[in-house]
Amino acid sequence: MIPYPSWLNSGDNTWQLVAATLVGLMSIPGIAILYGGLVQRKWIVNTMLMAFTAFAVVLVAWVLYEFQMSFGTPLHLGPGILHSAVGRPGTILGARAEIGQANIPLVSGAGLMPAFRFPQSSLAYFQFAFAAITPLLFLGSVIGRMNFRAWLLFVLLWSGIVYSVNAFLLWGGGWWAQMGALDYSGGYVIHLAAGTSGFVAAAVIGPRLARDRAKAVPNNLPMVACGAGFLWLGWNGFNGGDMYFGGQNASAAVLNTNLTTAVALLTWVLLDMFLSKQRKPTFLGAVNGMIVGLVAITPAAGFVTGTGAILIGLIASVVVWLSWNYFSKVGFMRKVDDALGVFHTHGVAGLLGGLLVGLFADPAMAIYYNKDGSVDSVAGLFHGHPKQLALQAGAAATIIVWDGLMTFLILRFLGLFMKLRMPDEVLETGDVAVHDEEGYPSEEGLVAVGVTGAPTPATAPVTGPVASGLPGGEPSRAPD
Amino acid sequence: MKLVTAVLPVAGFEQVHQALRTLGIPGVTVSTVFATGIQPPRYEVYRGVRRLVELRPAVRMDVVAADSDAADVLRVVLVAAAGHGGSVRVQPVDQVVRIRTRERGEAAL
Repeated sequence: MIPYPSWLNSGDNTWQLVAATLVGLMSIPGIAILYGGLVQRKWIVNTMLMAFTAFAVVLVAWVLYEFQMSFGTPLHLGPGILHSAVGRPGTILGARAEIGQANIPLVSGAGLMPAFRFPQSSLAYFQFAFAAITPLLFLGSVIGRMNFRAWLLFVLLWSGIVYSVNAFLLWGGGWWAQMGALDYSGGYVIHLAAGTSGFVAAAVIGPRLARDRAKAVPNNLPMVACGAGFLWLGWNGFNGGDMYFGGQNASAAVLNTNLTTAVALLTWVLLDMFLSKQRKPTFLGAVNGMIVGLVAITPAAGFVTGTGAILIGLIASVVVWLSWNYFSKVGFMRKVDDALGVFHTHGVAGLLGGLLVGLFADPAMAIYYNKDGSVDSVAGLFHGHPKQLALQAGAAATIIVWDGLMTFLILRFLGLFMKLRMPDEVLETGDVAVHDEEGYPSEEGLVAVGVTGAPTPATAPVTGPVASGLPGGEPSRAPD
Repeated sequence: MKLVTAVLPVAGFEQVHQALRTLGIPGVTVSTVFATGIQPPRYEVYRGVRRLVELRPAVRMDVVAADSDAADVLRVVLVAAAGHGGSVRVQPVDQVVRIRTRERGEAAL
């Protein structure tokens, strides 16, 4: 007996599964607790539940039709970009789809990369983790007011209609990939998409309560630290897995990713120390700088050298710092309630990274090797290929227009059937009104009333310390 | 001097605080407390077990005012908290001393 077919390489497959898991950890718990800690105390449960449910919704849709729409055979809808903008929907539930050799018809099947050395399920799960984190990122724009039902449907529709097109165009061998536009690991497909869609969604859904906007202080900074840490180290899988082999390019991508992140974090902290109004370093500023670095290196990770990585971190952090502190104060930017500033840290940073790869991509950074020993690599403007910058700008414009327009239309469509924003009286209360749970429940004044039993009369005097499991009440029904 | 104590639902605190500031009351002591009777009890459900929360988080504000101002403070609190509920009580105060300056009585307010 042999354990696996000859096309399978256990090293590549192991790395792909580890990388996929790292990316998954960025969502669950990474984004869930990062955003859960950043929101007001009364919205922790709602925020974390929206993150967990979106993660689940995307996986089910992914295996039923989305994976094939993002990485399958093209659906020819018309001339030009329509000829290869999206794949033909289909499931990947069968045995052959799961254990057969991975294949992206327009990429690996067309000889643009070496044949995959792992099964389709590794590719599908790895790419699912990317598809899932994108709605979780723009969750940061709409927290604190979006109707939960509308969220579930929005994620389902957005993921199928918007994300699959983004992914197919740049990674599935679609039109922009054929033109030569580069997105190493999702600066456009994920972060520019999240920034654009989040901003449009925040505008369409409407703002949080004015009082909540004025008092939007984070509830738990240590939880933010944990979430941010999951993001940073999780990004090793995010950028390290995207060339699909545990080779030299993955190693360079991981090192570059951390390098840019370190530079961007330090740049943001220094800007806070010397140019901000209060002249003090802030922890949440450092987290912003960290995210900006991670996002900006994403489209470039294995295409640039360490020098390029440092420059990208520096440029992106300065520009996003200015955007965060000044552009956000401009009239129309104030009007749109992008709660956690996803527009800046993901939208602006993703766009910048995508454009900078058009400058810094270095042909010496080998992605794959040809049989004759020559290397397969890409070059940007500073390495004699000015057209790359134009391609990067074109792809960015496509993503911005498509994602912005479709987000608007999907939400307007859902708005015909349901309220996108919760009513004000629910927003006043927060988690308890929406879920009957709160982030930090207090034991004071708590009376177990049994699963079906009649509630204790509200007028009953409260005697002594009251905790769960009073006589008469159901003790704990918890199954553990 | 009078001690005006208001126990308010969390949602009503902001307006009352703002109104008192507008009135020019210099000092107020605020504490987070648990109270019954201010808001209807609510239910929370954890892992399938439904629980009645009788003691709800509330905000307690203590303001010491000169005898001549106490009625105004009371009126402002009543107007500002009108939409939210809660209760206000007024008690006499024997003495107030400002520790740093040793001023006593209304001069210490």
